Parts: sequence; structure tokens; C-alpha cells
Amino acid sequence: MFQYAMRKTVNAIPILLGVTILVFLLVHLTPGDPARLLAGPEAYEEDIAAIRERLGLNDPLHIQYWRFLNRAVRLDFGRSFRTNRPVMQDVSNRFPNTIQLAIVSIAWAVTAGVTIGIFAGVRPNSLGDSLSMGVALLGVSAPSFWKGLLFMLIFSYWLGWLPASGMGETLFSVDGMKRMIMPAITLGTGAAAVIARMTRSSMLEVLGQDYVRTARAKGLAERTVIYRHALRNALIPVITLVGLQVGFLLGGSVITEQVFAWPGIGTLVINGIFARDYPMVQAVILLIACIFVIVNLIVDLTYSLIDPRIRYN
Amino acid sequence: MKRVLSLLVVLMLMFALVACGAPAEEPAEPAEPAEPAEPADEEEEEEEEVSEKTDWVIALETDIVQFDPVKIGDATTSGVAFQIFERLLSRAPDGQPIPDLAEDWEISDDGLSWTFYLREGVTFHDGSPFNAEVVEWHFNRGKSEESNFRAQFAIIENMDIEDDYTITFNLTEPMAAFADNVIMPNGGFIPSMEAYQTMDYDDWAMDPIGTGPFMYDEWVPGQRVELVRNPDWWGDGPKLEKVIYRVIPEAGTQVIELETGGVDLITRATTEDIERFEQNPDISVIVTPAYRSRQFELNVEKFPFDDIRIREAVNWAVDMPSIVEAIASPITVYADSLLPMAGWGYPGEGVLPSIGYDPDRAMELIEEAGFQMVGDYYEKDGQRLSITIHSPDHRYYMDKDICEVTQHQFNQVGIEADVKVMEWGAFLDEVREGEFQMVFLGWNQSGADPSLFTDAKVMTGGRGNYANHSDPELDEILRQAQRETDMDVRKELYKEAQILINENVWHIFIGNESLQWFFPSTVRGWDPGPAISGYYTQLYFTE
Repeated sequence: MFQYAMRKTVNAIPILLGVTILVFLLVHLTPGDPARLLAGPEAYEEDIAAIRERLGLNDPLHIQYWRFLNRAVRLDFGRSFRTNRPVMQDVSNRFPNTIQLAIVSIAWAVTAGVTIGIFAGVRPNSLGDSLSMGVALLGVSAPSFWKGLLFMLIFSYWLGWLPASGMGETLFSVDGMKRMIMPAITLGTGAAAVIARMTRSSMLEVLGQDYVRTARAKGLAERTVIYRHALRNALIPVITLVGLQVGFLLGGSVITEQVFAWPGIGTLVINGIFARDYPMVQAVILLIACIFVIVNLIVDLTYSLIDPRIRYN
Repeated sequence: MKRVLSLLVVLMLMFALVACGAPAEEPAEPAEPAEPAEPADEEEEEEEEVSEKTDWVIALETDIVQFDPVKIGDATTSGVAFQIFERLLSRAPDGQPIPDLAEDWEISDDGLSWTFYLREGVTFHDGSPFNAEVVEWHFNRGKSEESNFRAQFAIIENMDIEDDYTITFNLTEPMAAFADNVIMPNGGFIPSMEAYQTMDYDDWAMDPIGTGPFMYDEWVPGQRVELVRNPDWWGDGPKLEKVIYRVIPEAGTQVIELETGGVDLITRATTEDIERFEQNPDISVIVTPAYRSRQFELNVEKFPFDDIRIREAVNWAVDMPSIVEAIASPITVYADSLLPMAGWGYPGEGVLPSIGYDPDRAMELIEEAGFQMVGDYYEKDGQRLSITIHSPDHRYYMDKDICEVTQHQFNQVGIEADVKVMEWGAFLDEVREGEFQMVFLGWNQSGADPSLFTDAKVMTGGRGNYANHSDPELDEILRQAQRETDMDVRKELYKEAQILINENVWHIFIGNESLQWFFPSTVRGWDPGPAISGYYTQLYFTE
């Protein structure tokens, strides 16, 4: 088990190295001059040139990359071009907010997705099945900015139940919870829909297995058959999916955060991209990539815990 | 079964679409208010009760960046800094300089020295005194390597401290618009010198200490900035206890927040939103003219605009007043000059030579220039009369849309046109390199001095003269106007300059963009000026 984990961890290193090169090239090769954007459109050319020099943008690309990598391994991403503050300071201010949102979203997605999936899976082709799969289809197809504004319109503007945007002082307060509801549902709905569809098809497959027939034949209650025998086996592919969705949620949170004015890394990276704030964009994307890799590692390990066959192979 | 399913999906989609389309189509029936709104009795203002609400919540598109005045380059931070810091001079609503931290000022006859008489007894929020020493230190920083505005501050040769409250700026050459160029932009905000000398730079840049009516209190990154009332402010007020800025990036979200009472002020809305707000008695709408000019720049170094006849022809081909009226009103208003109509440099409507809308005249001119219609478009020596219009994406109000209608009107007179829409960063790169034929550009200034527009946009080598316009006669007039201190003479010089600019046909003028303010109708004591939001010192709420 330990060896397995170690091997997976070592495998992640070249992936992350690749990510650094890719991210670095992507941000540096995108047209747009950070110095010019920083100084503003009405700035003097001499001032822009001075800023460019100060930011080290006149150095050859490979030197800039080496400087970035050298610092990055020590978790120092330099100073933001835009704010002139250490990038890690801004990222560490914002990142917990994104994680908070992602955790609540994934919790909602798993709860809703698995419940709907089971519901639909045990009654295939019933009206309930069609209805819930229809909702799931809508959930996965509707873009999050649209869902977000729709929720806001209904729950804030028409009904006046929830504050439209922003984050509360803490999640563990009435205000904090109220402000969490819409962003979390908006962000998690897509994942919930995918999980529901996967759970349904996985349930259908498992329910057709011999051991389920055996369980029924020996007279077990239907509830026991579904929850004790079928569900546990049906959840294995779902867990992989949940892992992947966590990664997508972190990436997808950019738009949800923007719509709901959620102070996470999403708004940080959007402003970073528009301002060509290279250090900021590099740090955030690298961070998301690391989390993606870590989550996948955890999924692999969980997988082997749940299904002994994988461990022994 | 599948049919039932798809029917259900279609029904649900329809419901959702209807649900979100409803309020825009039926402005007369807004949401059921939780509590019945009290009718606003504007006629009986003397009987209005002052509300207990003393916090003013403003929506910001982006978070603040940093508060070192000589580095502030973004509008968001500038707006917040404006409540905390003060400058030697401020602007009256017509754009003319008025006293602020300087009670009075004098300009020497040769225009080379500006003497400021500072307000006495003013202290910074940290208790340190404001005096000539602080002023000298600040403007020297503006000239130093720490500054992002060195080129701007380079006009200051040196400063002489006459006494604690008198300081003279000696300029390298006379500059009539010195106040507009150096004293009043962001770089003119004067911070506490003592704080700078005792604090770590990073902390100082995020803890602005000025002399203004509000003091910086708290910043929650990505969420909000809170300012509190400065009880020791030298002026009258402020009546508010707190000014709170909330970061809300999305325009649609800002609108819902205003309508649900989450914020008190938004400064951006679509034409449809404005129409709805105007129907809503609970929301006040103010649209003020601003020093923001918008135009298509025609690159005289590129085909086909190297020929003045084609520059004239494209002007005849486009009905710009109608386009602006139809798609950008009331935010953008058509103007026939590079200078904003709200500023004192604009000579008034009908004074400047201008080109109307006449597609036939456009085609005549194109033919005069040697083009012949081949199929749908004009050609000359096998080269088609084709124009690419560079457009930014949502940088200026309705930029892309105005470009598209222009493109359509070009096509109608036989000019092949297409629109190249680009993201701002990439757009700036291409435009500043002069890599364009025709581009939608704006020029925003917070001051009204004409030189802020002309010297940058049309003077040879001007910093915003991306289309490489050059006219020695115009340059001479502009240089004369730079040095001239007599206001009437300057007005006349800028009128001459505008006539020359229009005769050169370097542009298709689009108009002036306004500033917009949307806030609860219970707000009193606030009248935003054309340039800036104005202090919130007299602002209060009524019941």
C-alpha cells in the first residue's frame, strides 16, 4: 500500500513539471503587455518601458522560466505585477474560500446525485426516472453563469429569501449559510447531474448481477438488497467520477465565483489574466493542477481500499 | 417514453426561459416588495426625516490594488483613494481647479513657477502634520524611480519651501495645464510622510493614511473595503459614518444587489436596466457628461486612409448620430469633436466643420479617388477597397455593436469591411504598434483641460497618437496653447486646433461617454460632477 502510494506520488512530479512549462508558455505567449496594462491606457511610453524593465520582462524567456521554477519549488511565486504584493499572500487569503465553496458543492452534488441516481436506477423507465434524468440533463447542460443569475432572480429578487451575492463572515452563521446556498448549488449542480447519471447506470448494471438475484432469492428485504448489496458495488465508478469532479469544480468555480462575487481564487485569476499578471496566473493554475493531481492520488488510494482486487493487482 | 421525456425537457426549458425573461419585458410589474415601499415625497423635502442609515455601500467591479499614490493606475483604487487622500487642488464641476489642501495659488508671469499656499492646521489620519515639507517629499517621490508616473512629474524642475505653508514648484517649461497634468491625477494624492518613514513599505501601501474625510478601516480581500468617518476632518462633514465598498464583478449581479438593497450605488448598467430603473420610484438615475471621448481613428499611414478623399468618404458613409442615438443612448452622446463637449475647450455645436450623412457623396468621393465598382465592392488597380475595423470587447459602451453597424453601412456604399474584436490586452498591443487601419478608441481624462486630449491624441508623437497623425501647423498651435496662461487666448487657440483636426479628417467621431449613477431615491446631499464622484461629505439618507 505504501509503495503504491509512493509510486503514484513520484509519477506526479513530471506531470507537475510539465504543467509549469505549459502554464509559463501559455501566459507569456498570450498577446498583451503587462506593463502597458499596469500603467493604464493613458500612460506615457517612457513610464511603460520603465515598468517593463522593473518587472524583469526584458529578460530572455528561458531566464524568466528558470527564475519562476527556482522560486516555485520553494513555494515563492514572486510579487504580483498588479498589486505588487507577494502572490502567495493573495492566494492564501483567497484559497480557503474556494475550498470551502468546493467542499459544500461536492457534498451537495454527491448527496443529490447519488440519491437521484438510486431513485432513477431502481425504477428504470418509470416517469420518476425520466423526470429525474431530464432534470439531470438540464443541470449538466445549463451554463453556470445562467443558472447563477436565474437562482439570484428567483431567490433574491422575486422571493427575497437569500442575499444575492458575497460571502458571510463565517460559514457557521445564518448569514454565512444563506450566502453559501446559491453559489454551492450553482457550482455543484453540474457535478450532481453527472453523478446522478453515473449512479443510475451503475445501479442498473449491478441490479442485473447474479448476486443481487441471489440476495433477493434468499428473501432479503428490497431495501437491504439495494443499500447493502447493490449500492456498495455500484459506487466504485461513482467515486472515481467524484474525484474528477472535484478538479472540475475547482476550475469551474471561476465563473460561479465571478457571478456571486465569491472572494475565491477564481476572481483572482480572472483579474490576473486580464492584467497579464503572470506571477498570479502561474501560481493559481499551478495550485489547481497540484490539487487535481492530489485528488486523483486520493481517489486511486480510496479505490484500492474499497476494492481489494485493485490492491492485489 | 422518450417522447414524454423530451417533451418534459422542452417544457422545463421553456418555463425557465419565460421565468428569466419576464422582468425585462414587464418593467411596470417589478417583484412583489417584501414591505410596501413608502412613496417618496420629493416636494416636501423640508419634512423629510433623516434616516438612521449612515453607511453608504458602493459596488466595485474589481478589488482594490494598492494605495501608493505614485503607482495607482486603476480606476477602482483611484475611486477609493479619493475619499482618503486629498490633493493640493480639486476640480469644480466645470473642470476648473479649486482650492483643496492649498487654499490659494499663484502662477508667475513667465508661467514657470507655481506657488501654493497650504491650508494650516490639517493633520493626517495618523496625527502627523500636513505642511510644505510633506508636499516636497511627495512630489520628489513622484519624480523618483519608485514612481509609475515619472514622465508626468518630470515637468517639475525642483521645489522651494518658502515657509511651513508655502511652497513653489519650478517647472522646466511653462505648462498651463500643470494642475490637470500633475497636481490633480492619482499621483497628486498626498499621503502621510511620517507613516511612509516608519512603516514597512508593503504595509504602508495597503494602509493608506491621508487627510481626507474618510479613514481607511478594513480590507477583506476580494470582498470589501471599509472606510470610517474622519471626525477631525478640516471641512464640513462628513455626515456618513461609514463608506463600504463591496467587490461585485458581474454587472447583472450588481443590478440585482441594488434592487434588493444589498448595495446603495452602482455605476454601470445596460440600456434596458436604465429604462427599468427610470420606472422604479425607489431608484434615482443620474447620467452626467464626462471627459470621455470616443472615436474611430483612421490610420493615415495605411491604405486606404492615406488618401484624404477616402477618409472623407467613410465619414459621409456613416450616419453616426443616428447609430449612437439608436444603440448607445443615453450613455453615449454624439459629438463632432475630439474634445469632450462637457469641457471648456469645446466651442459649441455647429462651430466646427463637420461631415453629415450622404452615401451618394461617399461613393462620388471614392470614385474621385480612382476606385471603380467591381461586383459589390470598389476596387483600384485590382486592390479591393477593404477595411478592417479593430474593436475592443466591452471596454467602451457598446463598442462592438457600434463597429458592426458601421461595418454594415460601409458595405452599403461598396466598401468591404469586417470587424476584428479583440480582448483588451491583445487589442492594446496591436493598436499601440499602429497595426490597424481603423480602430474604435476612447480617451478618458478626469480633467477638462483640452491639452489632456489634443497633446496625447493628435500632436506629432503624442502618447495616445497611435494612428500617427501629424500636422506641423496644428503642433505649433498646440504648443502655443500649452504655454499660454490667458484663458480666453487658450480657448481661441483650441478652437483653431479643433477646426484643423476636423479638416484633416483623421477620425470618424462617435461621441462622449457619460458617467452613470444608480442609487436609492432616499439619498440626499449628493450631486456627482462630470469628472468624478465628488466627496460624499454631505450625503445622507432620508426615511
